[in-house]
Amino acid sequence: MTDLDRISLDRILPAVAGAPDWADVLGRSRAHERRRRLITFAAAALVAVIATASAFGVRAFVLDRGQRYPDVTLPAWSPDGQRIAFLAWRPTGRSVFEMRVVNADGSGQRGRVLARKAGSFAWSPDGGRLAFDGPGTLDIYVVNADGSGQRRLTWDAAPSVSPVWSPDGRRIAFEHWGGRGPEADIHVVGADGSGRRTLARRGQEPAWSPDGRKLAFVSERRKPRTFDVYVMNTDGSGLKRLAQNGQRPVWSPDGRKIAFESGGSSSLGLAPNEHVLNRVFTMNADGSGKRRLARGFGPVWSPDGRKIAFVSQRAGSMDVGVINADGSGQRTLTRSRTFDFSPQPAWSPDGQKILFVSDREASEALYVMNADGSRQRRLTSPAPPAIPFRVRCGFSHRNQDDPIVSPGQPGNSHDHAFFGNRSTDAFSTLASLRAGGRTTCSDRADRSAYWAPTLYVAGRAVEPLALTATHTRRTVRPVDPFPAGLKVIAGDANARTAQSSRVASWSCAVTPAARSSAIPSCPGTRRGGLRLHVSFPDCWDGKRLDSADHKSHMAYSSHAACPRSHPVAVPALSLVVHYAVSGRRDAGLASGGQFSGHADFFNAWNQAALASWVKRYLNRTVE
Amino acid sequence: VIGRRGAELEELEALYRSRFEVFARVAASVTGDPERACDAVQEAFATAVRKRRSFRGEGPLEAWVWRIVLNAARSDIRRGLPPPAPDERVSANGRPQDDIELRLALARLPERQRTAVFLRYYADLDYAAIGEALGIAPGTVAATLNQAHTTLRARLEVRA
Repeated sequence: MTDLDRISLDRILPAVAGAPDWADVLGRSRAHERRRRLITFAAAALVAVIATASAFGVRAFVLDRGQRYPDVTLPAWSPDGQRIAFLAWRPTGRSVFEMRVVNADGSGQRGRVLARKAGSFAWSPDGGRLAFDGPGTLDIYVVNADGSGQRRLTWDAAPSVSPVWSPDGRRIAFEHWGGRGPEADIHVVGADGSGRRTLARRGQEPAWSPDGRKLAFVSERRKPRTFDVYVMNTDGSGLKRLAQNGQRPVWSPDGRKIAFESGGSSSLGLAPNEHVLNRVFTMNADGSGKRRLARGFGPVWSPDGRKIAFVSQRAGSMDVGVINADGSGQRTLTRSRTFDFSPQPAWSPDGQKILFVSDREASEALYVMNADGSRQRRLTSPAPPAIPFRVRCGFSHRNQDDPIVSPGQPGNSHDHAFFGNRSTDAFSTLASLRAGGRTTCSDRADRSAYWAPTLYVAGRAVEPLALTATHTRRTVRPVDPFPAGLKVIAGDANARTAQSSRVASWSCAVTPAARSSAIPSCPGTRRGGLRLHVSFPDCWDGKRLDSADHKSHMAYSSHAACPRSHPVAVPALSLVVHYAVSGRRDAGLASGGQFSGHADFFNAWNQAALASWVKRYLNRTVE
Repeated sequence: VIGRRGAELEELEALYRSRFEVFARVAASVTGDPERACDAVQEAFATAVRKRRSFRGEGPLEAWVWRIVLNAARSDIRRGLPPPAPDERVSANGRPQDDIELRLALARLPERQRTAVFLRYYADLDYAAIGEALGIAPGTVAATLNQAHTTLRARLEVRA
């Protein structure tokens, strides 16, 4: 055998240049965080869904814990008002957004992709190009509005994000996260990539004055985590602090005033919970005459400078508000139930319309309305059809109870392996499951009880590793969440010959698509090991939470529709029990043999959380 | 033992400073491009910095970072081990001809096996750490390395 030693491998591996500065790593980390928050505008208090490839040919995905991403975000009109660019989330489970453009009249709903990965962007003043930051390494690029001629303007190891064009279209200012300090510097580069220089040390959110001679920005240089609004001449002179505790400065079209948001203590001031006490202010461009206009954030001037649209907050929901620049005539134009993401209003260049983001129909989509709030209509189709979501629940315990078949009779059943709710026993009720016990599920909102007959190999009980519960949609019509307290059994515990492999089957982890009625011999244990699949009926009679045989209140859909007897479509629940055994001929279930695969589900989800997942992942199509 | 929660910034920095080259070169065997590999390592450390509180301390910190590095490298580009540069063929250090044979044999291994080899014999990780880094069970690490050995031996003996 040849030497697999460090020396020979050392000669084989490609040489690399020395380590870039650690500060660059810190800068990247902050830039990513900044960009992620800019895009998502909010961290919803939701939980992790563990999901991977699904058996139904649609990709499911993993969400970061506590994070979900809007389907569309950061919409912006082209200067001629004909097109709208925005970021669309790619359902990858990660913060990956592509830059798309659609026609402002609503034609071409899916839009054309201008960049496969972008974090923020800006139209050039003539509308011919867009600047954006992307893809992996975070540099500034420009691309023609038809998608051609992409060009990279920055090349360094530290990230550059949030480009903004000078009004003459010749230069682009951006944040450069070099990592030397806790915040970015503001750099400027020619639109042809030439003449790069530092405009301001320590600054974010650059905003050119309409005459191009000044730059407003925010910085936390006075006090960490507190942003102040500054202004300076674009030749670097005349730095002045205009306002304490302000963010997102925007110049009025005539350059005489600056609107900004203020209040709360915010790191980046973009999450709604950090906006709870925010107010929209205006001031003169020299910092005098500050005036509080309204409760909310994210001000944008109408093109004639007479009005300001902003995100109005009442009772946690976020709506589009409009107010006259003198503080009179405040109105709320939308009535949304949007709690998670800002509507991000944007005026059309002629001032007649306002673009905004809403999740009123399903997932986030772009909407447009007249500037008085009338004629609200959807511009982009909210995205692909159902995406399965998956919850992973570790093994909890094992006993001979069955709260569905033998309630109140402990020890009256064959041996079961329980997952999910840790308190499940023969006396479990919806109330007890909700009240007692933790859950082994990756989503804490899932306090349901799941169980399956115990697997025995050579007479010894096998403790399963975990169970995955995949929820998908098999019907054309949208699905309802499982009703609270629903009890259902899938599979036939008495089967002694092969059941339909659509209901109960076995596989090996390495070849999950190869299902068999008989227990296969798998090539390994753990990740190569045995799996039991049980698929639940996805139509409910709409009345009973249980039935005598624990099955007849439910039915399977066929041809993508529910039967008349069971008209209510619910998620198609598919359970997979993972075992750390390879599966052998002397393996069998507690319910008898290898063909009696079945499983039980007792719904004790937090219904609001379940409804949210269902709406977001399974009911994605509207119409 | 309850896992320690979170990793310290200083620990990550120390790891970065002391092991950057090892990370980057193994990552280069995944991306096939040293520059992209360096980038992937930086990105991975930036991710590690951001997510350091989610480090559970169930294994060594380095294994956790390896996993992020390898994911970053894989999500970048898959080209495999780059072919030897022409000048290396006549390189005088050691046994260049053997190196080329070994390089070719390694290049033809499945990525996971090849990476396992590098992690074990170049980065000096133990089986538990390799398992964590590759997202596989420690038992599978042994099997993976075993397979790699068998394949390499067969290929190199055929050539010899």
